[in-house]
Amino acid sequence: MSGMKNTEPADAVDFKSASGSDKRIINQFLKEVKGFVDWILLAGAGPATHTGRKVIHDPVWGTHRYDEFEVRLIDTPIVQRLRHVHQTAFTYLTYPSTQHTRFEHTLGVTAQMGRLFRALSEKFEHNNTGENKKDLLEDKLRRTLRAAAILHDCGHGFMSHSSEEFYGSHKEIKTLKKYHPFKKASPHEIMSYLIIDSAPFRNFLKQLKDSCNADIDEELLKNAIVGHVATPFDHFKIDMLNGPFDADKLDYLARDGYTSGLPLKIDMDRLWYSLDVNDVGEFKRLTVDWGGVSSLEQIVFSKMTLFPAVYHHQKVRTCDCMLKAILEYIRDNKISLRKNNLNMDFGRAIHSLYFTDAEFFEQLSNKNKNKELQLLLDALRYRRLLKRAIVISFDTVADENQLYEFMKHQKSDPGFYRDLACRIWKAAGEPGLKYQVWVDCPSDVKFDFVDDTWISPLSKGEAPMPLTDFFSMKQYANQYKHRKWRGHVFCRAEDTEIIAKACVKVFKKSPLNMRFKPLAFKLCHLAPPPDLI
Amino acid sequence: MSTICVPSDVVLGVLCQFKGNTRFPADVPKAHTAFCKLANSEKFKDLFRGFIFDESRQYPYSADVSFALDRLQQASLLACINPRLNEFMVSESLSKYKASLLKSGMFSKDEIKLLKDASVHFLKAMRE
Repeated sequence: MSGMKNTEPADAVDFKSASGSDKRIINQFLKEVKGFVDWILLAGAGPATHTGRKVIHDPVWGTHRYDEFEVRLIDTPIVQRLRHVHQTAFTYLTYPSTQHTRFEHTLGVTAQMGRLFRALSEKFEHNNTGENKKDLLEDKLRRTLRAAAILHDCGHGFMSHSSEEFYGSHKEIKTLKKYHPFKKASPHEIMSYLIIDSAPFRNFLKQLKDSCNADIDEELLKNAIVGHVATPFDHFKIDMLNGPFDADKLDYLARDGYTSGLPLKIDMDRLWYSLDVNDVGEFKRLTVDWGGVSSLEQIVFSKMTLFPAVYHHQKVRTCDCMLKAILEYIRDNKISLRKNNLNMDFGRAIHSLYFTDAEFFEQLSNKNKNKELQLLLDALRYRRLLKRAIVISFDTVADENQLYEFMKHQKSDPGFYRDLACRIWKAAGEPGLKYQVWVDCPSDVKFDFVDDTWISPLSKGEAPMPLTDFFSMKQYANQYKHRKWRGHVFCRAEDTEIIAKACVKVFKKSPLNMRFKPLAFKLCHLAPPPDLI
Repeated sequence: MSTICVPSDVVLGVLCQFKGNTRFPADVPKAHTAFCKLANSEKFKDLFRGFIFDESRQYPYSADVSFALDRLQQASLLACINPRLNEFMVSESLSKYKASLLKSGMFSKDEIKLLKDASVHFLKAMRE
């Protein structure tokens, strides 16, 4: 196609079999991941002193036991680092109690994985259909999936998804996503996989397995994290960590809802009671009995509620843009941050792993000779947030075609929005810094899992039914999210009026040809410019 | 700022070949499967070269197809407002894109012909 940006697709090959320039990019990245793992495993903490089991109390799920192998895995610096990475990034600047970290979430996912496994075991113990499903649940599988739960988020950079928005579009991640097993994986899942697959971590895991006499399937562990189904028989195992109602989702919905004060409710008992494993075509899948459909609906409703209220809240989006501004400033101005004798300019995806949230801000604070950087940093630290100059949504744009033209770049060409923001800043007469004007097009909330959710057959011999046959949950959720989705232009509080006027001019030009309704400004508490439509 | 063709434009290019108010089942897995089949065919593989399909799962999933269908719905170009929410309907606005495909500079004449052929295969697969 005349302007198509994407490169040639890779066939269904493993990333290790990539060739040409892809191979060079991937090999370089694998080296960087190895360097990171080498560094963090020897981070100076020394071996953990605790041996034996541990009981950990959690406000969301109560008391849960972790065996010695799991405790020693949790005690590695790779997982301990997650104690200092906020689960929901900057949401605490809007919902002050969302201070929870990836570490608590990790423990929660492991607890949920344990309960999911136990629920299935109990079900199969009392199975009266004549089918023997008990053999599906070996102890090795339980141990593998719990280890996968412990390690599933170890590839998160500082500030979780906020830094992921930045490094997710780096070439090493884009290249890996063309290959198995990363075709459906998100950037942090790819990082987690590569950390576990690195030679130093494999050595560590081998020693740990030997000393705890623990048997785990390392391939399945990694595939569960990235959601890769290696064989049709394995699908139900992958479903438990990376499926329609997986342990990860169950924890983050409950935990993020609890800390943000949103009263979300999922009937977990009913869900556990109704779990099953059935054949769907050639695949073995995790399914739910008819009686558990209401729990599945609650999962969808919870996700629907959390996105507009928390993850895509305009103040949260502002903070994400302000973080990207800092990262962009560092990159553009070649600010030197040193870690492990490396210069961290965030031009490489791996750089985000070297920092925890506090370390990132602390390191930058030491660069206080740079007044502009300090300005950007203090604005985020002391919550002097950018404000909305315009709202871009279904009900604020004059023509639907224009909205599509605006949104279509979000996945494959995020640089488009930066270019647009710079044009707006220039058209407004360059107020402040260019890093203080942002066009935000949030990623789409995904409800794809609804299309892939299966209901157990009522009687033996019948085939499972897709959830969508009961109720068009996916389309219902889509209708909701489409009307809740909002893009924005953010800028300094004192510039909102001139930036709003500049937006009208710049958006009106090709290729967007976009015109706004008065509501686009009213939602920002601004008077609509007179020459609007 | 130049016009850039992104994978969702290919989905748009296929769907805009239909007349306004054309309906087909809102069966998303089937849509992914139909696009995957096109992407794997010798005739259309160049047209879909930016698409990545994960064929290891229950149905061949593509984040590009998912993104395109979602964004087209979000912009009300592809509707799903029928009472049971089980059919997609091509809007009049979407079908008007057909006239501007060549002018937009995103597709060549040959590619537009391919889009037309692909749309026939796609609709047939969706209605099977």
